[in-house]
Amino acid sequence: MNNFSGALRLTDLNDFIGPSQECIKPVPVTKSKKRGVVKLHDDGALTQNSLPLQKETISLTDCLACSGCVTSAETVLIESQSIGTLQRARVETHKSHVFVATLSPQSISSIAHKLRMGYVETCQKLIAALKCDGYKYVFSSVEGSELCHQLSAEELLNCSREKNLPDTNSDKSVNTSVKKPVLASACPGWICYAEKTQGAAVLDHISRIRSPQSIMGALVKSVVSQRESVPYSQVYHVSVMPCYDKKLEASRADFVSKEHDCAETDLVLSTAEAFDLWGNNSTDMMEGRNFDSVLTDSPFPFKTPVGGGSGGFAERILHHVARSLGASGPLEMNFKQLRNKDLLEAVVVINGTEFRVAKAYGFRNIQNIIQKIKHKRCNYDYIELMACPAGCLNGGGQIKLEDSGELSEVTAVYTSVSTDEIKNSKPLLPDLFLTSYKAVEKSTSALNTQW
Amino acid sequence: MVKLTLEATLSGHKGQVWSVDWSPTSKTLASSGQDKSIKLWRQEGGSWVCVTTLEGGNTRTVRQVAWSPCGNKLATASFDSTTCIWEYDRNTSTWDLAATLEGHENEVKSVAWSGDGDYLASCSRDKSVWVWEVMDDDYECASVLQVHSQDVKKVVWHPTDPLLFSASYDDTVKVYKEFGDDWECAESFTGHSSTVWGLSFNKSGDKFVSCSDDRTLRVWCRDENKATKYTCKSTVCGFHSRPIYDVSWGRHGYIATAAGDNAIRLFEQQGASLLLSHLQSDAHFGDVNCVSWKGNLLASASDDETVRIWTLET
Ligand code: SF4
Repeated sequence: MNNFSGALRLTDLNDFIGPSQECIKPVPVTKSKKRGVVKLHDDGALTQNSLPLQKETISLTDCLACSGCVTSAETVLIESQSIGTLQRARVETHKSHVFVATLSPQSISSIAHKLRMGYVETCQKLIAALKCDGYKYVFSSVEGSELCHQLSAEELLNCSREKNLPDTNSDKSVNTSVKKPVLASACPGWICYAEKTQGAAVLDHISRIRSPQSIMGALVKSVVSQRESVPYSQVYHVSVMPCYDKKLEASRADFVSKEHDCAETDLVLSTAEAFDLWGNNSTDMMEGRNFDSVLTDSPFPFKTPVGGGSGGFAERILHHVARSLGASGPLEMNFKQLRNKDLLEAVVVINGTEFRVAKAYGFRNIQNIIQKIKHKRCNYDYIELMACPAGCLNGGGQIKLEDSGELSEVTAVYTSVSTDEIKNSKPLLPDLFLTSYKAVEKSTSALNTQW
Repeated sequence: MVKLTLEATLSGHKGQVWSVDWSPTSKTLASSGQDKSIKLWRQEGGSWVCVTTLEGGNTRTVRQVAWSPCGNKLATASFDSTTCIWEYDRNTSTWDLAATLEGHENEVKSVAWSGDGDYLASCSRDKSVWVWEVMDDDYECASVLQVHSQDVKKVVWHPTDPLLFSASYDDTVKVYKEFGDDWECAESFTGHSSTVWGLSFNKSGDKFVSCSDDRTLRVWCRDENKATKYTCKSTVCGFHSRPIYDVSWGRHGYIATAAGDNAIRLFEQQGASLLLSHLQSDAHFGDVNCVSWKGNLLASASDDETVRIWTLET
């Protein structure tokens, strides 16, 4: 499964609890009222009261809560979030369901590069293709990023009490128990790795604010069901993301609506999968196409947040921190490279208060940060931590590049529309956008040790 | 006549002894094994004695112990998924646990210092090879290489160049080189039909010999035009009836093998191939797990809970 980020792959690597080992989760059995007679037929088929026995399946959510064998989780995952599953859903439910999609700016940049088109044109082309295909709304996940950044800034301010900051109004709204340094929560490769291998010493540092994708998830179905007057469960939400890891994220129990017993994001397609579906549609009817907005009635702009292809968390969060503290004017942030090109830090002084932030991409930098945190030698306020080397534009689900030099071209597409002025109205219920993490207990299967 | 004379049998470890390594700067031998301890052995008054036992670092089997080039540090690879670093304190004349490197998912199988001591490499059942950068007392992860498809058994540095080699349960040997600020796999060597347990270079590094569960040795020679490229020039079969767990190419040119038939064999190079020059049957009362040369001294570690020291006579 080379599509997953390296961090995720490492936790999956287990040759002896590998594919051959059977799932250890007990399968929930729905008991039928009548006692059945199970018959084994000559052809090996099992029937109960002459009806074929229903095969019980383990859902990905079961798998994620278990570390017995990740291999089966991968299989379930790939199966449940494939183009095939989406097309089946389209055929079976297109009459009853409202289909909507959220596109990530990393996916758009990758497709734009492939098509040799600009960012805006590509957005319009994809929106046109999706709308022709029957998708009622097409959103930009940047709208979720913006909320994520605002809320994360409040969270960061709230756990920066030792800095003796002036009390700001927003302080009261997002009060999580996160500890400093606060680590970004947007990368599921990193989150799954942390949950599978690290304890509270590290998990306590991960921002409780949902990722942009799952913020969109929290909003999209309720908003669309209201606008279209359909039940929540009849909205089908597809998200297009730069990595397979995001498929895992969408399957987390936290991101299944308890109230409606229904996933907030039904299916995540990788950029390459989305390109296969919509990338080659004709370019007619692009004119005047716009992103819909979940929070407002006006179109959402064709923009990306400043701060680089991983979503600009460090820059944007500090930008909002500065605004909350009453600083005006643009925020000067000069990141300097540390030991390698995927490890950067910046120190900013906002109204006399110093904030130290870092960007750490790729598994080796994650490792070094984890060790520093464990040994209490990590004095950053916030770290934009991402599993992929070079960050999200280099995600495992992106369209394959011929050579590594092309990545800078994709980055150029992304930054061509970067801005630090994306307007957003503040959502009323921040609690809606919080999440939590828990360590997955290691199954101590000391199967035959191999020297 | 080439032969080995038994110099000493060192007892003290409880359970299998997995690894022996000679200090590069003195005639001190380090050994490690199932009992989680590291023992240092030296000749005192004519006999070999255990001078120090290091305990309390690793919590499970210590699969390999490796001296740093300066002779003041030891790295230990353990099944507890960590690598411990021990440092010699000249003032107190004691060995102290200086660092515990975490990160591998499960059993660490092997650990090796680069020739200049700037890097440390480790590998694990989690299929990954890690390169650590040594900065004073700090060990930073410089790269995590996930190219093997199975358990990685051994890491070995090239004797003169900054190249790292790894041997795996996936039957291959791979070589890594620095690439920008990271490391990358430059070449993969296939040929063995089962687990490659180890490999060892000759003095100049233009050849290495690999040993395998497939009961063969393979001799690989460096391509004249490409530093990372080695080609298998000969397969040495018919001598071993059981898996070959380790191989050590001495400075004098003799290659020693440790095998699952309790024997130690010595080979000499002849053209591209190897010639058996001595068979030490029943070298131990169990599998021989590891062999290590220092001049004419050969140390061997075995499942029979002992370490033996042999002298080469030619
Ligand atoms: S860094 Fe970005 S692309 Fe890579 S796994 Fe994380 S979220 Fe996905």
